[in-house]
Amino acid sequence: MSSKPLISVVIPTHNRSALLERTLTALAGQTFPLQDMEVLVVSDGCTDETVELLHRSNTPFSLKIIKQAHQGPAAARNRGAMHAMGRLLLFLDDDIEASPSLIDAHARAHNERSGRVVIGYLPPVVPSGRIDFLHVGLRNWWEGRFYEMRQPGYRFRYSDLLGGNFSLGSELFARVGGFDLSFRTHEDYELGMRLIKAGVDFFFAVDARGYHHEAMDLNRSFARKYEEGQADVLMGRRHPELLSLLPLACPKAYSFLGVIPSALAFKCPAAGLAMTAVLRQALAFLQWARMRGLWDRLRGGLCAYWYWRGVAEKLGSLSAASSFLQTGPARLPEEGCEIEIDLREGLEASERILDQKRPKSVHIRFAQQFIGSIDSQPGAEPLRGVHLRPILLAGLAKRMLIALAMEGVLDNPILRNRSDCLWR
Amino acid sequence: MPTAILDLDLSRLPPEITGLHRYSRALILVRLWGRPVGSAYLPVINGSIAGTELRGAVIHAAGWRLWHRWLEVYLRPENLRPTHSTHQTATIAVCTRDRPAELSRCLEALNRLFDEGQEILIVDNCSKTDETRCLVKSHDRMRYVREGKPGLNAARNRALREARQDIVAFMDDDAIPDPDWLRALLHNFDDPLVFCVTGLTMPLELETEAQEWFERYSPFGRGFQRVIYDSGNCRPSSAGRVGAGVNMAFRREVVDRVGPFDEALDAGTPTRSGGDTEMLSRLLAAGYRIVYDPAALNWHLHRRTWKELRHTLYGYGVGLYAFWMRALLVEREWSVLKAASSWFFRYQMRGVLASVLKRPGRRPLDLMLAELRGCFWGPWAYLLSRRLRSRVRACDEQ
Amino acid sequence: MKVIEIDVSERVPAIQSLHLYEGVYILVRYRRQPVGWVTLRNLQQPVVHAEQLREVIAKKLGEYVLRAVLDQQLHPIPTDKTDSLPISVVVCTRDRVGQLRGCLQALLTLDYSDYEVIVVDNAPSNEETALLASSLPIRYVREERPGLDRARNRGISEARYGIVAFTDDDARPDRNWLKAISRAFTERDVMAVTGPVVAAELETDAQIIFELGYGGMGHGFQGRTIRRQTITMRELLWSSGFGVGCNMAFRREIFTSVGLFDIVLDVGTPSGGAGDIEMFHRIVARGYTLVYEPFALVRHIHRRDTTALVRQLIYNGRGFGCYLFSCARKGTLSRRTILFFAVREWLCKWILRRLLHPGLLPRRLIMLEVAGMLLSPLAYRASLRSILKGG
Repeated sequence: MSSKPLISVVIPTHNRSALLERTLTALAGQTFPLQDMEVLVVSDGCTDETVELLHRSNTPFSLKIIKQAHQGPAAARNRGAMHAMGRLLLFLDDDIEASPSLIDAHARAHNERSGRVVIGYLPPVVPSGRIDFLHVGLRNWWEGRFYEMRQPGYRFRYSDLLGGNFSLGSELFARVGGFDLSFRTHEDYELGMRLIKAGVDFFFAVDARGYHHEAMDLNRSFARKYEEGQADVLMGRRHPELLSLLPLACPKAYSFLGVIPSALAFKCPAAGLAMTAVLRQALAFLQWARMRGLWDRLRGGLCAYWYWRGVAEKLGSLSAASSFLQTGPARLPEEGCEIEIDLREGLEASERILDQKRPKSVHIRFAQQFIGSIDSQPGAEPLRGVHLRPILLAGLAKRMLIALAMEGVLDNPILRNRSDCLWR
Repeated sequence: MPTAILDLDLSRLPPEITGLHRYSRALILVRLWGRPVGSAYLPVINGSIAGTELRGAVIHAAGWRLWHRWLEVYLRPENLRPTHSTHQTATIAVCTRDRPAELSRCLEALNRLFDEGQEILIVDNCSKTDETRCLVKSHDRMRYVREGKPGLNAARNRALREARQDIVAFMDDDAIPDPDWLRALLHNFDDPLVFCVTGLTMPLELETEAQEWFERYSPFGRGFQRVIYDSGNCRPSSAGRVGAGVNMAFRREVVDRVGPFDEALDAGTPTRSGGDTEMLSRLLAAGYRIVYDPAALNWHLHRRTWKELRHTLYGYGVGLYAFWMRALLVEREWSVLKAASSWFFRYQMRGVLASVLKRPGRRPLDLMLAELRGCFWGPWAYLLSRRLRSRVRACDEQ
Repeated sequence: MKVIEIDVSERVPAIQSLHLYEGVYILVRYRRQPVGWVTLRNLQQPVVHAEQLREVIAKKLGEYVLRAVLDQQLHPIPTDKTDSLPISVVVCTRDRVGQLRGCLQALLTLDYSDYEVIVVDNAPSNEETALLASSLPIRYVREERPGLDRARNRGISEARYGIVAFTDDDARPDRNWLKAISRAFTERDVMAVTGPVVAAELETDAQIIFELGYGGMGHGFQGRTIRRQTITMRELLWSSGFGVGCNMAFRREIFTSVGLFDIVLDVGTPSGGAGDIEMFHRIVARGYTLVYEPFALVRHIHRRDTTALVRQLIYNGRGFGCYLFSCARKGTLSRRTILFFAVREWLCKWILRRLLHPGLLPRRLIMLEVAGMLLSPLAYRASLRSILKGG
């Protein structure tokens, strides 16, 4: 077959041959026609038997192997995309075990509407039996995020783009410029931000299920926080309007222990490793004693400490950090329209206006009565029709009801059976 | 002083209520388009309740929930009835033992539920007579299963094994469901982290004094606000406030995730109760979510005589401390010690003291003492129950 | 301050020409049902725009408007006049022709068909009242013995119809007053109906202090049904919270059951007694039902000058004390309860709290009320003695 494949699956990998094998096996069992897809595995400086495994494997789909020096997942994905020939790019991590309908679900979502970014579902794999606090917390965090994304009228943010399971058109990827190579972590969030700014629609496909075998322990979580600290500084530099949202903007809120971690991180970094080792023993004890509250707080403090170490590495000193934070609000561009809608025209009509204009913020009124406004959120997609009703119900319920009462909409019998309902 | 139970919908509120000559009070469940939004007690004067008082009490009881429901239906008309969720149907499991009269009423009510393709499973836990089996056989589309091991939790485990659907909704044999009960329960399972849903329980009748006291004491779900419990906002040792076995539903895979119900607990064993609370606490400890949804409403027939009430409260005392004993020994929940001591001193001792000193709002002394006796016996009851079970298991294996 | 009314179910207008006023005091209604008050003070310009007004109303009274919507849905106001009961309206007056004229004007323009107006002229010093009454289609009765409660009792005996409504000569009932009272009496159990009293004008400082600082005479706009079984002992004794004498109505048969107004509480002045709250207390204590109906609105012209206000407060204190004595004497509640109530509730909570956080009401005036209360035993004894002597 010489026709171009429809989907190119790009998998960056680094020294995880066992997981990679499982991933490839799962891809072989896809319901999507295997001749219409190709898989590109980018070996990012692998020193174990990954490359041999790849050469050995006999896959029913077309498999391309790309080798490069160790540069990080962003570079690996970009490289893979460069060699990909498919119209659609599907990025998958090497620890994701695809369910049989994963690629099918992605393809279907793109067929429904083109030009969007489709985010897949990554349920974390739960080892049965007793799970420790760390894994329970992680699992709940992941599942909570996906559950929110599934609600109708969810407003997507830049941080919803998860590099482990998402797909977009290859032209779109090329147009926005691919991943930013300076990011070692959160490169997917940064891409998400650029896509949001470009006005691209996000879509969550719950059927695109990929089981996430995340190998996480305390040490690794601290290391990740360290990298996140660094990434957030870069993110703040690249997209200053996000500064107020990032954890480094409010040290107090980040951890129960307040400013202690940040101060420690800047002032005496040498104590870090030793202190972590000691406190990790304390965490193990708290885990054994099932004292969840204290465990949470202590871990929160340690995470905050490592996060600030990452920030300190990029910025150098506390004063530099505070001056860095100042740059944010001054450079808030926030063009993008701000409109006003009148609900007296009807809910459907108002939704249509939102879909047409895609504003960043909205003032809502009902005839003469002002109800409230949806403020512009940096990093979130512009407003759409489906966002209106959940926001009205959640935040503006009281004001909306009072406005309806004062405008006389509630004059007709509201308590009868709903056959004679009064929305237009 | 018997209390009348009234079920009123705000969209069809009568101008006044008459014909209540037997009663001195009325307990009114307030709904809006089927969804319960509040409840209120009103005095009955000369056998009737005047319109102004009725309206005032009903509006006050419903409060903001009324408006929230109204706005919800205004904005999303499809929310008038909970729509079909990802889990279309479930297995309804009723565990029973030698109570054919109550069971018969329960089965009639189950028959009247909307047909969503649910499976109805009756687990007969060592009944002495054949009546239960004959009763179930007389209703087609209900399955009968006999569980030989005595114990309510053993019956529940059997139900989880025998069920054909992914969700199992438990109901006591002396309770009857509301028409929307099943749909409201299923709706909450859309969130994959939710492994259990509990619901609101209202009394079927409040004719005798024993029933009124039980209603005051009762651990059954009471509030009208939907709450999502997880380990963040509810400690596993205080799982009792999350819900009760009279009205709860689980995913079948709960057995794989946290293990089956502990067969050393609950009715039919020396510990008499606590089996449901123990499972709820285990779920919380493992980080899963439990949703309390008042829309999943059922009606329970409380025990009519004072002797039975005392017996039941004794059972609750035993069960609670047995559950805490298990949590301490098996799950190593140290917070149990703090919970048990604070419950003992702040609630039980204070209650007994108030009772002895005849303060207003006190509870009857004999009930409090019965519960207290149960508390002291509780931990030993658990150990005894465990030993009995292991002995039985050893016999079986031989 | 300017006093105006706004109905939010109709168009909310802008308020103009506020040059002479330091603020606006707005009575907000929803489809004629009174909902609450909004005060706007310290205005920058002499005009309040409709937009701003709606915003303020929505913020402060939004929930009450919703509640009124619900009330009207569940209990709609009848639009037809078929169910109206015949009512006798009694106005007791003494040498206040100017005020009385305004009151009668309001009474004669009520939106009601079946009623009569009786003016009880209480120990007049001249013929002006009689002259005024003869020029209008009302009944005139003269009660020579001075005393507000005596005058009321006379009015009851003269009344022809089954429902007797009372108001004062310095009050201006709302157009729908009788309609609301009639609606409240449709339930057979209801024996007494009271309603809110609002300020007709806030021109002078004394009026503003009385209305905004002291709380005026109103008791809110939430309809209530008051029955012995549903209220506590404390609420029963705080019967001044059930209503005010210038806006009350009774079924005539209740007077045969519980008796007439207590003339002992007439402490000699036209409006200083506590006969009204004592009657409310008695009716509820004997097990009958009293309804507070927010639709039955009456506007009252408060005392214009400060000396009159001072006198009013002293009489309030004195009257309340006498009322408590009367309760003790009649034995509706035990003396110990009443004493506890007087000390714990009235003195500590009511007076002390106001002393600590006076607000608009100067401390001096609060002390005057206490002084009045302290005078009450003497006044009560004197009155009792004179009644027993006079027969």
